[in-house]
Amino acid sequence: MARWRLGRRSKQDTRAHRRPPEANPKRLTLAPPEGVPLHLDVAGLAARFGAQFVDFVITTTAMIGIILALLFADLVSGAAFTALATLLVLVFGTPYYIACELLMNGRTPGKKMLGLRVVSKDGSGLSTHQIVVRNLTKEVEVFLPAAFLLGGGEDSFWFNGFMLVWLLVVIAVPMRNKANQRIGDLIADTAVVLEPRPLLLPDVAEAVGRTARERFVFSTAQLEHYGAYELQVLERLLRGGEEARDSRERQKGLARIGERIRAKIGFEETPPPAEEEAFLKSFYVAQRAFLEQKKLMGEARADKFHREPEPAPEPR
Amino acid sequence: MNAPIRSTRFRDEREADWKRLSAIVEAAEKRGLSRLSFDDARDLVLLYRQATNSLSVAREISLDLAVVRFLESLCARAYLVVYAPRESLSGLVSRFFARSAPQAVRRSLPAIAAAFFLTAFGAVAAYALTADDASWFYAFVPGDLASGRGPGASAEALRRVIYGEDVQPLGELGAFATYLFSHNTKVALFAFALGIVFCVPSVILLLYNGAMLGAFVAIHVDKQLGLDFMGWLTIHGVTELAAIIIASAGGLSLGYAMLFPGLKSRSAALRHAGRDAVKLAIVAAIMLVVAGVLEGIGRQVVTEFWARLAIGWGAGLGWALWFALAGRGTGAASAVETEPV
Repeated sequence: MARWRLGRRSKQDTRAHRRPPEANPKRLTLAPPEGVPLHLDVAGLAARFGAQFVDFVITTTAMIGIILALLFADLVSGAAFTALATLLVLVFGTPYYIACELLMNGRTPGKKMLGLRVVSKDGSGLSTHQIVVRNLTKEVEVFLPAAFLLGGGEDSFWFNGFMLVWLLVVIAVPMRNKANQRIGDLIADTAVVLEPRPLLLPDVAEAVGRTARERFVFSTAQLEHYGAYELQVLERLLRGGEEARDSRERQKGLARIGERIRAKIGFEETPPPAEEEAFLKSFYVAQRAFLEQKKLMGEARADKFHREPEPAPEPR
Repeated sequence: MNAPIRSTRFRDEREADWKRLSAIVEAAEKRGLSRLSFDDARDLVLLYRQATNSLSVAREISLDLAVVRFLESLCARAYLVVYAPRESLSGLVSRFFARSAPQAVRRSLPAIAAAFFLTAFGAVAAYALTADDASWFYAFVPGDLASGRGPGASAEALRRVIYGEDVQPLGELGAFATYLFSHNTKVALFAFALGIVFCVPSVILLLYNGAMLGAFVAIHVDKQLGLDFMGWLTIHGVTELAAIIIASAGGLSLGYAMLFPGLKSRSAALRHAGRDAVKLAIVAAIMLVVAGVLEGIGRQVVTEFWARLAIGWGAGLGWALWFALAGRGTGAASAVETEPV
């Protein structure tokens, strides 16, 4: 029995693998007060490291600039200069990050450049407390190990060993975490996401002329073969070549797909190559209308294997 | 069949509103919410609500991937603008000093008391040990911190350090600068941050810090310089030791939440404890900066015993009054739980 179950599960697994994996598998679900869950892409560790690096460069340049200006202006004496420089180093640390994220709505200049953003995981707005917490912990979590790595450690064996362990922990936590949260993010209940970029593509169904739709008519039996997943693959395909409409490669590919669809649904007529795109588009419209109609009646169909549609991820 | 299909009609009816919302959000991101025109500002929230509504409908009825994806990112973008933090820096700072910081300190009184007793215990133990056998001093104080002071130093040398006859070569402000990165700042930082590891590092650091203090007192008392050392230490030490104790109390309360989360999950307990602990850390940071000023300037300029004592304890009294009295006004108590800072 157990063996049978195991076998069945592995079969399901291979099926699941047929779907092309998403480019960024880590997604975060926010539940805003409106009650409509939003799905955001979690920022990768490399992007976050890049943003941190940009911020580091910005603060260091600003610091050196001010110090050089003070030096050349010759306004302050030696001792006061040291004190001022120290204060500058302090101000361009944690206070800089806190002020930036507060005033720029969860972004620092580095994050803005790389299109990243801090969000509160509980779906309410980002609070001051959260920003302060995640940046205070940055001091021990990011700057201390960085200074240790750059400085090459100290003499004490115990200190070096401790710092190495701490370094491992600091790197391991966000890697293991579902939303790439570092320890400070965990305490503050925040996450760093990719900035969503709204881009409205034209509706494929709009572009189909009336004549084409009257030319190719599909029966209900012919529309019962595919599900939402196949429909959306077809949508991507039809969209994919908008700008390269005339290329021969695309025509060939469309012809191949049209052939397979016709074989599968049992469509009698074979349209000439020039009409291949019109055929696919009218099939897309008919299929979508059919599936949407069924969905409205409570009969959602995720793909051609008659699987249940994936349940929406639970808002946390 | 010839009429546009349902999801296409759905899109056609609403597309103009979505585009408008997209433009408003774009403008708000670029120029700031406060510079939106009146109409845009008025419509932003309304359009956002409509867009989330469209999103939840589109998820149900539409198989057009383009629309669902667009609405998803549009709503997320608008959500981030609508629920952006709207704090002015000055309001934030004044509220922190007037209310939230002293309230947090008062709420954390048990942790602060625990940190104080740990330091006192370390000091008394080290004092007893060093007074008994002076070589214990080297066990408690690392060489670079002692800077020539030790059981072997003459009373004359100790007196010279105390009354500043060999003034810092960098001068007053230089001393302040070096101070900020000195030993005690590190202790405060570590005692706060590492408290999360079930209190253990904070407790050790507190005991150790107390022990160093006790050892120093012991060698000075041995040379009949106890009172003078008190004066030397008091001027900044009251503020500084209080800062370390407060920072460690923050660490201890974090560790306590990890050890005994109660009915909450560990991370929820940690988040709850973090609300006050972070304020304690900021208070400690401010106190350390003040201690730096007192050490750099006060200790070198003011060499008279009573003046040192007065400045030191005066500062201590100031802190105590701030913690005890600020933020007790009407309405302060009801705001405790909902305080966002």
